[in-house]
Amino acid sequence: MTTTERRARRLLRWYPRSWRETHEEEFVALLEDSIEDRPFWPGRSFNIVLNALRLRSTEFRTSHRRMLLSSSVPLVLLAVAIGIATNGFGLLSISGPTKGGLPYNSGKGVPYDKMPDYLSVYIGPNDIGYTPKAYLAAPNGSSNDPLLGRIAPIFASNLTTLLGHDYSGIGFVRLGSSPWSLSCKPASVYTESAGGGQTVTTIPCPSTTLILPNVVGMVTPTAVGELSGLGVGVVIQNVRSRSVPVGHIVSTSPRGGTTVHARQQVVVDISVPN
Amino acid sequence: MSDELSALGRYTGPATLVLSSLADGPKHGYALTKDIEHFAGIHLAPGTLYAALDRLVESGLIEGLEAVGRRRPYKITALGATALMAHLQAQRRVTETGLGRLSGAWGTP
Repeated sequence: MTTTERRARRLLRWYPRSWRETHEEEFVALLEDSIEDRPFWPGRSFNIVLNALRLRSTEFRTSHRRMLLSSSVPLVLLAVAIGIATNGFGLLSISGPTKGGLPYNSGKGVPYDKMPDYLSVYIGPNDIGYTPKAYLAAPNGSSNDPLLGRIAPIFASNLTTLLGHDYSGIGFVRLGSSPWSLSCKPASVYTESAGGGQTVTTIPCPSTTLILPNVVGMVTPTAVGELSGLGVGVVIQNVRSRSVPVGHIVSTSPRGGTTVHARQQVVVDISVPN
Repeated sequence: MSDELSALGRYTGPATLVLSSLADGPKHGYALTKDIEHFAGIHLAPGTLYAALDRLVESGLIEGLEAVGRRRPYKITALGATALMAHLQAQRRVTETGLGRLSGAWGTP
């Protein structure tokens, strides 16, 4: 064992045992890798001890609170939705790569009826999502439409299916209404790739009804991917659950097995940390 | 400003740096440190880095991959990419407003 490793492992004892079980090896590796860049130990040691103590104090408070919490009613958090909702305007301005840019991304410059039916949402170099324009822009171009902020992320694989392309990005769906039950007409999708190329694709309307699969207990990406792959709109709600592991599906509304309209909105409850 | 990243409280700074670093692909702890130093000029001390990683994993914005040897790479999730995008867009409005007003009132440097 090198001096660095010994020193690192000694410092790590400040962290809770559960943390060390998952992180010790990678943390020691990090310290060994970085020691040549910064051979000065005191600052690093202080930082490690400080963060270890913070973690211990957080864990203590969390376990304390868990004991006090009554368990009967799952608390619907909608954390993601509300987090993004209160930042609604920020989301509205989500745009393609800034180079070139999409003229109507922020709902400015292009009249609503001149926009394509779906807008692309740039997520990363290889990830582009789509969203019906009604979720990101309003006919009057106003940014304070109360519905505008109420949008939650949705995996775009439903649109992937519609488009027949392998896009793994995210779109956004508005909460609090059933936008997917709106009557369908073939939609045009305006796409801008990371490289700046632009294409327009036409999406046909999907078929009318389907039987909702049961996704309870699945991990979120699998479940949301499966549901949205069928064309239904997925609205994510965060709930706390004692029995379902974090990141897994607690329930859906309507339930699995129900016959639903394609494009109907399905609310999916996801277990989040207490 | 309230968004998924701001919910991370005092971890917002490191969290933004970590998510930005992971936006183009998975990285392990040391690669993250070096990358962040390179693009932001900020050195994240190991304890701070791992506090941010823990928070981000907990909130589902990143996930730890299978360790390669002793080094575990972390990957941004779709939710993380969304949160980062929303956060940076909001930041950009602040930056652009600030720069615009500075140049209006104080002249272009």
